Amino acid sequence: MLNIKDLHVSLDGKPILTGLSLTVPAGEVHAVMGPNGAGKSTLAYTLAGRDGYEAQSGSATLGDADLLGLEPEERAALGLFLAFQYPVEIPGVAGMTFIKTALNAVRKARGEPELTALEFLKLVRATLKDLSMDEAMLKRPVNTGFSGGEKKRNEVLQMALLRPKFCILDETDSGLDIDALKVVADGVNRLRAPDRGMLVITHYQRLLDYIRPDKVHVLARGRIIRTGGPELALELEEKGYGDILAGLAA
Amino acid sequence: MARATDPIGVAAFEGGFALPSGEPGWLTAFRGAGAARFREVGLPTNRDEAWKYTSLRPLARAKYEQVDALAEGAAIPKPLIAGAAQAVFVNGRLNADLSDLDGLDAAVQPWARVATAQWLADTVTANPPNQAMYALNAAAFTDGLAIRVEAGSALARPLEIVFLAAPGARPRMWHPRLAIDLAPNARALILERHIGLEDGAYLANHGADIRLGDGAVLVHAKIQTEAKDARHLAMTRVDVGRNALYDNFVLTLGAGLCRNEAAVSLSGTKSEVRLNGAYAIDGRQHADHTSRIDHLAEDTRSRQVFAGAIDGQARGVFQGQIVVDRLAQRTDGHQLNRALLLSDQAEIDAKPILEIYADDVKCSHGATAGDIDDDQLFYLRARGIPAVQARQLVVRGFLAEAAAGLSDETVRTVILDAIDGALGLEIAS
Ligand SMILES: Nc1ncnc2c1ncn2[C@@H]1O[C@H](COP(=O)(O)OP(=O)(O)OP(=O)(O)O)[C@@H](O)[C@H]1O
Ligand SMILES: [Mg+2]
Repeated sequence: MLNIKDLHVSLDGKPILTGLSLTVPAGEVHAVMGPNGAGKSTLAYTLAGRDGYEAQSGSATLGDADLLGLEPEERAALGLFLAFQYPVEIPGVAGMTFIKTALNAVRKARGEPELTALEFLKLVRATLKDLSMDEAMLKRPVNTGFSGGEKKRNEVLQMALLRPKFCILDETDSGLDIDALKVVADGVNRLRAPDRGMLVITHYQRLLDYIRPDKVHVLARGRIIRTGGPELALELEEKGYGDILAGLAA
Repeated sequence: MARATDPIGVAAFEGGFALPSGEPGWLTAFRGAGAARFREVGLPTNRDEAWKYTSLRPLARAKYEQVDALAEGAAIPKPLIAGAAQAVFVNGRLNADLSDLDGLDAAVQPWARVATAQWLADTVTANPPNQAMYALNAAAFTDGLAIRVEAGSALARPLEIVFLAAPGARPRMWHPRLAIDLAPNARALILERHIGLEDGAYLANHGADIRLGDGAVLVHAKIQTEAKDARHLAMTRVDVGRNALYDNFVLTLGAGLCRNEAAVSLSGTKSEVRLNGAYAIDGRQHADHTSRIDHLAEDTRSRQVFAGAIDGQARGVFQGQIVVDRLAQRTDGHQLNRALLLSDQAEIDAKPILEIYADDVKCSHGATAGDIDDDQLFYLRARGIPAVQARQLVVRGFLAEAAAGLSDETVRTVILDAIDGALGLEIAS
């Protein structure tokens, strides 16, 4: 499903990703862990197509599609979704308007008919109910004045509504209280499906208790330096990255 | 030796000075004062501090006819507010046939019909006609609307005042006049619409006087979509009594040159003014929003938020003066002017002035100018919204924020719809 091969990304001339390779087959959830500043968000932004995050070399494909040549909205239309580490405030644009515009833009790009106002409302209500979220959030301007936790919930809500093929969650669990963490994990688990893949970037084993990943990767020094099963997260929780990094240096 | 400040453009306009017969003495005197003032100062130019960024010098060369001709077969826009009455002006002249003022007969009248009313004299002559274009309006106006709401009552229907411009082969001009007097505890909702029906050059020079008695509330909004070659000038003078609220919003979208000016006196204790506005301009448009708020009594409050989206080679001007009188203790004044510069050649000139003579006041002003936020654009695009639409949404949100202060939800919705319409957005809310 998602295939990343030998990806090199520099930011303002500074190499951040230096030959990163990673494959997430359809139906699987993979976790990416790694020290602060290792390049996890850089990977996420590069896949989503943010300005300034262009790959110097290597490839990234989703299904048959070469992601790297596409505009961000084209990647979204293909079904790629990034839950931002720092969701952006858009003052003056109601959440409802935003999600409806996004949903219909994606449908249009895929040649599907736009949703009627009623269909949209039904979908929103049902999804809110699934996630035990309040409609009030969608009446407010997007993320504006939201608490950190509310912003993360909002990302999960958007993900649930857009039903992407491939989800990247960049530290969606950071800064959440226990209940919110369960909401986020629940949102992810509900979307687990044989034709959907996920990449969950996190610092904490805690999230992985709720979302059991098929694989855990360690990103450091610009590459995936180790891959293992869920037990790898436990090991990292206990020992930190020191041993692995020391092993590399040796 | 020629004076450095010889008045400009007097010759071009004095032919249009009007002295209709049968007007009451106060009005004749007022017109005379306007004529004298305009002859003294002429058209404002960059030399006047108050017109530093907006010169009307080119008007001296324009040959404007004063024509009250009706537009033939022009489509009259339907009210934007459900159930609203409409007073329709065509080229500055009130047209009774096109208007629907049912149920408002006593309250909303053609100016000439109530010219002898004491309330009208009181409302209009509270201040001398000083501002040059207001003075010109006083000297030259031939028609207008006079609105009076009795104490404790509300205008029976929301009122839309629609100014339709149907330019002719030669440039035209008109100087309509508006007077609004809300007696104590009266309420009214008034929406002005200024609509250019077709391309062409014309000058619309509006003058208005508003008086709010104690406890009165006036929601007064304006949507300006004049023709691209039009010059739209408006001077509104407002006096706000004790506990009264003047809630104003202006949405500026049209006209090649626009100056929307307000002078508000908060003369009663605990009076409040909200002077908010948004504008979206492009090409070579020039939009000037100028205001002066005088806090004259204790515990008065003023709020101003202006947001502008400036594209192409367009230029925005914001001048906001807040004067706090020595007596106006516990004044609470806040002013914010924000501009989105959407092109390299877009320009904003901002001149905030705070003059504070009382010692116990809370006053602030702020200004921002910058490009669209890339993070916002990327966030929207990452959700699948194409770049062009994402830009529109961000601009929309930026402008919409200025309307947040509007106390009336219906009017706010009308304004937001007009913003969406101007940006070509279809948003079902
Ligand atoms: N424009 C830039 N120019 C140079 N270096 C940059 C630029 N932007 C980010 N970086 C650096 O790139 C590195 C990777 O940043 P990134 O945000 O991808 O880390 P991360 O793994 O997501 O960290 P965290 O766990 O703290 O979120 C950091 O060292 C950061 O300082
Ligand atoms: Mg990060």
